[in-house]
Amino acid sequence: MKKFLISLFLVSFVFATSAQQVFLETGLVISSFDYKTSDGSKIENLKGSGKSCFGLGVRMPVMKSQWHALLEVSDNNYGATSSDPELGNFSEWDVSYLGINLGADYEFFKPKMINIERNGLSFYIRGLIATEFLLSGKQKLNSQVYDLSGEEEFDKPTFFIKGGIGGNYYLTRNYIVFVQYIFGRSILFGNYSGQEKLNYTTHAISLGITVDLTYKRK
Amino acid sequence: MKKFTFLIFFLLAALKLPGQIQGLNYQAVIIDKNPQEIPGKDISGNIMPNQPIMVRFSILDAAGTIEYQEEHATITDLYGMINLVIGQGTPTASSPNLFPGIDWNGTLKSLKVDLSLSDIDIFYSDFSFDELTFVPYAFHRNITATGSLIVDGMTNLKSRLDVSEGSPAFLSGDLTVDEKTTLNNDLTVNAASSLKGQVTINPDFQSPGDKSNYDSYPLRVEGGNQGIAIKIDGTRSSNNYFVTFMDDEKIQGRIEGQTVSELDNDPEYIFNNIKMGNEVIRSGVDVAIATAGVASASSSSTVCAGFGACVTAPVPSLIVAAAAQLVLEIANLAMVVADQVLYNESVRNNIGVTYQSGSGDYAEWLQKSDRGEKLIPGDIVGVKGGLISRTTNNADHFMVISHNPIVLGNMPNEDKVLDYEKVAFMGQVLVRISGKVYPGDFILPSGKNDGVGIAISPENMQPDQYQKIVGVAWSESLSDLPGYVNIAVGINANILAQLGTAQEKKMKEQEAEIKNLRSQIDKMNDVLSRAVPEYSALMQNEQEEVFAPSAAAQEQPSPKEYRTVIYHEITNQQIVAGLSMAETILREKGVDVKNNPFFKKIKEDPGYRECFINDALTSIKSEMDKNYNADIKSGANIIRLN
Repeated sequence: MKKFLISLFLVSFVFATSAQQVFLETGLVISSFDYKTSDGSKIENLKGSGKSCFGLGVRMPVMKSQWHALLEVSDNNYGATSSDPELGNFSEWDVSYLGINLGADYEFFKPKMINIERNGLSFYIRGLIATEFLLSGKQKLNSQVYDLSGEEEFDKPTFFIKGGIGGNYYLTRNYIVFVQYIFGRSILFGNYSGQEKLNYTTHAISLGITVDLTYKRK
Repeated sequence: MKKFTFLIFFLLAALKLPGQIQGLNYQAVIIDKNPQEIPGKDISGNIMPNQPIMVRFSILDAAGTIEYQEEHATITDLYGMINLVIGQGTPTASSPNLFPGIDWNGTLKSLKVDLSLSDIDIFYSDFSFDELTFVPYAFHRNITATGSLIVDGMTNLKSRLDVSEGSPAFLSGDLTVDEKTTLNNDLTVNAASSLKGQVTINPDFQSPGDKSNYDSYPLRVEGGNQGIAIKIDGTRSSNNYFVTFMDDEKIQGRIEGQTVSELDNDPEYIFNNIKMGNEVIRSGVDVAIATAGVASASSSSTVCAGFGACVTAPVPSLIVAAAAQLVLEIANLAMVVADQVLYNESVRNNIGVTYQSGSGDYAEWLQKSDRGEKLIPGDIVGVKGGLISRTTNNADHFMVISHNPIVLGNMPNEDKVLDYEKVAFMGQVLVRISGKVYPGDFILPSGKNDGVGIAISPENMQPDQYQKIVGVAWSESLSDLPGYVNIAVGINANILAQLGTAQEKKMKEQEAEIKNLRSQIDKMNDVLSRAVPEYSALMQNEQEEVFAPSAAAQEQPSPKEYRTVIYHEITNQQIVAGLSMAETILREKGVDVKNNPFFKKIKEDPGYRECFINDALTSIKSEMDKNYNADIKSGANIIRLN
């Protein structure tokens, strides 16, 4: 399934690049687990941790307006730790998800083009929905390490709603660097009554570069 | 956590508890059987620290029946552990016994543990069920081991030890018992035994027991060549009772120690010495008589008519015979003296114990001439041919039926006891008498064949009554009515000796009186012969008529005649010949002369032999001198021959 999605994304990406912006980003995602046991209680001392994230996407203007639609494939790593001094237990999670993000942003203060060049700073707000699939995951419980593949809380598609802000700096008309902050929150669908529930809250800060492929030097 | 099930990990340790605590140590770690939910892999095997719980222990027998059940309310520690003592909890209403009542009889026992994770809303869940594969509590009672029980260490039993089913018990080491020991069956000791406490044999016989039955005696010593030896600490004295005989009333007799000084004051010892002393005196008198006999035999007197030579020499054979008699008497005296010396030496060498009893006589069983005759203690009986009866006429001896002798000999067989009766041989015994009795009176049979005796004072005794003496009264009876007096029997020989001595004395007095009369008659004849010339002739004719038929009469000097007495000097050879004759006489009488103390010393000790001969010669010479002087005084002619 994962291979199929990755292949589908790359084919779409190739066909879409002719009139799009392509961007690449990497950064730090600080995640925390919002976990409830089957009886609805939370566990204590469950702390989030920072991991890396990487994304590759296309961005397309909508109707030549300031709106852009974007599609991104990302690799997000989440982690958390938990300790229980009374019982002497320590747990650490480290999971990696492949995410497919679909969203839109609105760009403010876009620099005007001067002599066919664009240079300057602009800002945007961005909203995304995403679904993520577990690529790998491991759990260290005391001195034991367990593979999280097959664990119900982790090994199923996770849906996120994300939103944030960012800033572009147009180096040239075609090359733009950007920095952004995206907040994300996973969403569970279905009836989880009497079951364990695990949600993620993420804070991603990333730095990237966008290449505008819509301009063709004549 | 709403609901717990439990993953069990327990450690059960059965340890020997110190002190007096009764129970089994039980340790367990309470682990949460429910895994702790966390993201991903849940955590299983969590301990349950500081958890108030209720623990219920059940000890089941092989059939699964509860023998004991108790509850504990406790709290797990920081590590989820509980430390409890089974036996120190609260017995439940379902428990049929208290903990000490568990029957550890060697059959299978199981321990079931139930837990409740709340001490308020108690709901027990199974925690563990395990067999007790060994006896966990050695202090407990009723431990039954179907196999062998081997204990390498010390075993401390705080209660009784029973070895039942007739099972033997063997101890290869010493057995020390601090408290009383009761044996309900035979005790066999195959080695020497030392009993340092008082030993009381109090048999619980079903019946008083037949005295003739060996099994009736609670203490029997058998086997070996010796009997019982009794040893006291230190030296013995009369304060040491080796054996005491007593009944419910008092001490009835005893065998006690005796010292030399106590022996000197012992009445029996004094009595025996007095008796032997009397024998010495009597033998001394016999020696004196024999000496006089020798002196008489060594001289010969012939009444001679007129003043012519009328000589009759002493006959040597008579001298030797008299000397032999003298030797015999001396030998007898020596034996009597030796007997007393030997008796004293023996008694003093063997002084040790004396037997004391309230009974006062030494008796023997003698057969009755008439089995049907009823004899009672105190009866005087006559003994004829060794048989006794109340008929005293023509009896050889006269004795008394004993009541309770201190020593009783000649015991007949049991089936012949009725044919016999106890007869006192020596000592004090009560005798039935009739008439007044004073101490010192002789007791004789009444002559009525009624078993009763009469008292005769010594002054009134007649010689023909001597042989009828039963004994001497040592108590008195001032009533004329029949009664009992205490008499001493068995000392008749002494009494007869005393009577003999008195008779001898009387005879000597009569002899002296006769001599004196004879001397006076001689003087009267002499005076009459001178005054009346025909007197001598008349007297001679009268004498011849009177004495002629008798040869012996010729030896009697006539008062009218002058006597000529020839004294023959007794020589050593004659005494030696007397010794030889005395030895021959004794040998012919069956006496063991070879081992006779007197003759043995005479032969083996030349000094004693010489001393004896000299003493005999001196005694004879002294006696002869007395006769010589008497003859001189009588005016007889004296001729002395050497």
